[in-house]
Amino acid sequence: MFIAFSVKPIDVAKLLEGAKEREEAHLLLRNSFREYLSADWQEIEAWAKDLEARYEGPFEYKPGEVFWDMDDTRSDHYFVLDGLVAEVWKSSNDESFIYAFVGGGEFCTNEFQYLFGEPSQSRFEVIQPTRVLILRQEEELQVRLSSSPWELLSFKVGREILKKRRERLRLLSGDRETHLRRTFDKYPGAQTWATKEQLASYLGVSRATVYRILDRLGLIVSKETV
Amino acid sequence: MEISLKIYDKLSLAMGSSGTPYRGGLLSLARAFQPMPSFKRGNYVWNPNELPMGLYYNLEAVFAEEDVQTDGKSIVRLVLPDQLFFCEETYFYNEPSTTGMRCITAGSVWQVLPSDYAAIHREYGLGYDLINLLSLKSLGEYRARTAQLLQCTPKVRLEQAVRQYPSLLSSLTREELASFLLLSRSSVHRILSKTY
Repeated sequence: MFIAFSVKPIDVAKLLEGAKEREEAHLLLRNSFREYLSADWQEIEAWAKDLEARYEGPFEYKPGEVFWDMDDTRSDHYFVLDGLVAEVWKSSNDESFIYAFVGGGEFCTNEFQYLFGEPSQSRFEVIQPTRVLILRQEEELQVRLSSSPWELLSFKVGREILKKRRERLRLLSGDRETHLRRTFDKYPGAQTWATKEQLASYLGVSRATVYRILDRLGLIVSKETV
Repeated sequence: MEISLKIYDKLSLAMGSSGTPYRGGLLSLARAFQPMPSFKRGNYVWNPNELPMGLYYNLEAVFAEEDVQTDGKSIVRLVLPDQLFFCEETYFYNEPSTTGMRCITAGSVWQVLPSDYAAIHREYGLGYDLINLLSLKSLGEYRARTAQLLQCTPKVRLEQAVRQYPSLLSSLTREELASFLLLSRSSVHRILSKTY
């Protein structure tokens, strides 16, 4: 008697490709840790490897998808491999605007929850196809409980974020053309993927002003017209 | 109230509930603050390219932190009486300051010396908690100010600033006010003549 059964074919090439992508993504993360913790790297390399292994992914997000939304109470930690995400913030007078962009090599988390224990007041919305590694908050708690280098890493990442915000404030006190040029230098994806409405929201000007600045910068205006 | 107690209150407030295990350290830190020579209008606590390592407590003066760029000066933030402050570039990054902290209204400032600060930090194991929590205050301030600059009309910007800093109009010249609100002097004059 024969028993018939079927085996779902395994796409070995795809599996290998997935493993390679994962390895490359984790290498980027490891290098980022090494950059932040270079002074103490030898002593905490094993700890950093353990932390790295706890990150899941890479995951891919499409434009319009969100990492988290307003009022969310999770605080997973995201490491952006490539792409572009916008932090859309709702201020006390209930208006939303783009507070910051986050791109490849940068970390982000729901800081309202993580730092203040409050629901998020911002939404992280994908502008350009983006790949991330994610450290779930439960894993982060384990890391935090088990050892202290997390505090150091957190402190160093936090300092970078603070620096970025200070720089943003500084750029806002100058002319918007310089601000936009610097933004495009740092996040080239913004030039191609962000709409003029998003850029206007980021710069605090009208769409018409964005159009004029882009025109002055000699940049080709694509997709839409004002 | 004794100054060191006032400073202790400020430090405790900054630390919130996480400050409880560090009460001894915070009290010791508060007691280590020493008065600096009084500041008069126009004096600087620090200038660009300096490394001001200390943590300061402003008892009664008003200061404006000025960002000096090639296309002019702008006021990044104001430091009002009864506030702790520090040079972020040096305190957080150990880098020279890119700003100047200029006295607008005369008064006294207390400072803890870097050597005392380091010794107390070590002795009480304050770790990264204090510095992290002080940075939260900056995060919140930057976010609020960015929102204000991006979203509010000049009139609302001025109204919000006066609400936040009631002594603003008497402390700053019209030019300083314009710089703080990122408006032209004529706009400030126009709004003030209509509103105040």
